[in-house]
Amino acid sequence: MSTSFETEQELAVFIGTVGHYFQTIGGALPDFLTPTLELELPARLACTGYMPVSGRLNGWIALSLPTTLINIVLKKLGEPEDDQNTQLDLVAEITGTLTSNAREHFGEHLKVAPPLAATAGDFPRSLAMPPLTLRLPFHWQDDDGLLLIALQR
Amino acid sequence: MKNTPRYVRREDFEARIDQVELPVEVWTVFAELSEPRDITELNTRTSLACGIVQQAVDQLVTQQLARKLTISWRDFAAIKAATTAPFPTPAAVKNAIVSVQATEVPTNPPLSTPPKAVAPAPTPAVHRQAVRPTPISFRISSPDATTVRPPAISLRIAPGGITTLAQPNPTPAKTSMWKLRPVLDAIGGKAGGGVAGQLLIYRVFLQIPTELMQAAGLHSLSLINNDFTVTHPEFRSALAEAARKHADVDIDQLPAA
Repeated sequence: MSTSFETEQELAVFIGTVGHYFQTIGGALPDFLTPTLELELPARLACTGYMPVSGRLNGWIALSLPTTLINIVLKKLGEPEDDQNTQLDLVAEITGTLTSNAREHFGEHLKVAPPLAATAGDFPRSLAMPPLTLRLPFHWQDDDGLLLIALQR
Repeated sequence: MKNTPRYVRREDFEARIDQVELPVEVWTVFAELSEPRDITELNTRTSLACGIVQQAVDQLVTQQLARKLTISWRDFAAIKAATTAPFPTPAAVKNAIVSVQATEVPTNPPLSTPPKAVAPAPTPAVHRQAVRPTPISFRISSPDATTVRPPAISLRIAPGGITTLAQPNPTPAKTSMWKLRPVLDAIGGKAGGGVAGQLLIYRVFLQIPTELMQAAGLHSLSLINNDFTVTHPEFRSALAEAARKHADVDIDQLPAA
């Protein structure tokens, strides 16, 4: 029996770091929209950074962004290139920052591995398909991104 | 007003129609059921014998492609009153009618214990080269800073064991027809609402076998605004157990569930 909700609260903190990231680079927090639970793995946007987690929870968390939003961030960062490789690099950088902060914050009980970046149609082979996915869309700078929480039972 | 049974296509027939093969005369009857019709009408419209029409209708009902038309007592009384002499008004029988109101979504309280802030860390080596040599950094702080909407519940539902209250059911029972929203509100509230509450709902639903979710028609569960009622007993049992075990919520004690 597990009725301690510390894990959920800590994971919520981790999710909150996404908002802090976008606030840091763009001055505004994203609005989190209607979350859904999905039996099928939801479609991902142009570039997705997958962050494997283990410890109390096993699975992965993904940040999925559309091209338009990625290009906005690239522009804010002063990056002149906006080809797909650069977009993937940016998503890897963002998720790398998130996982790094998570490691500092959570320590051993929630291990967050280095992220894997992939385009919309690709899914990293090393990751398990979840039985159920929590889809958390968010709105930022007139664009919508996605957070996916995909844990194992 | 006719008192003979009338039949109509089920609203969700398209979900099953590609999986069945039926005799031509059955499809002939089905083609006429875009509107409610009784056996006599179907007999006239299809030129099939009444016995064959009845068998066709039975097959369509068995295949869940059609259903016997049912209406609420209030509608029945209104129609009857319009076509006959004095009859009990809906107001006179209001106690016999099931009425279910939507529940309000509670506002999320903040987390009771804000998480500890930590210093920003450098970008670690990742599978792809970083765009910028200097990473963006920020501090982890309370998730309150993020605009998170309250965890109300809604469902986008595939055809299956879920019906809305708009569909009449003269004998609703707690074990066969219940609203999901107060259950999810109770679970989400246990973790303080917000994203943590949504994650706890996720944890609870994660325990329910996929096959059972599919059987209940829950392919996509939205966490905002719904008044749907679930009618799948095995799903309810699995949810009750998971809610009790993982969220310390007894759904049988919830007044609206």
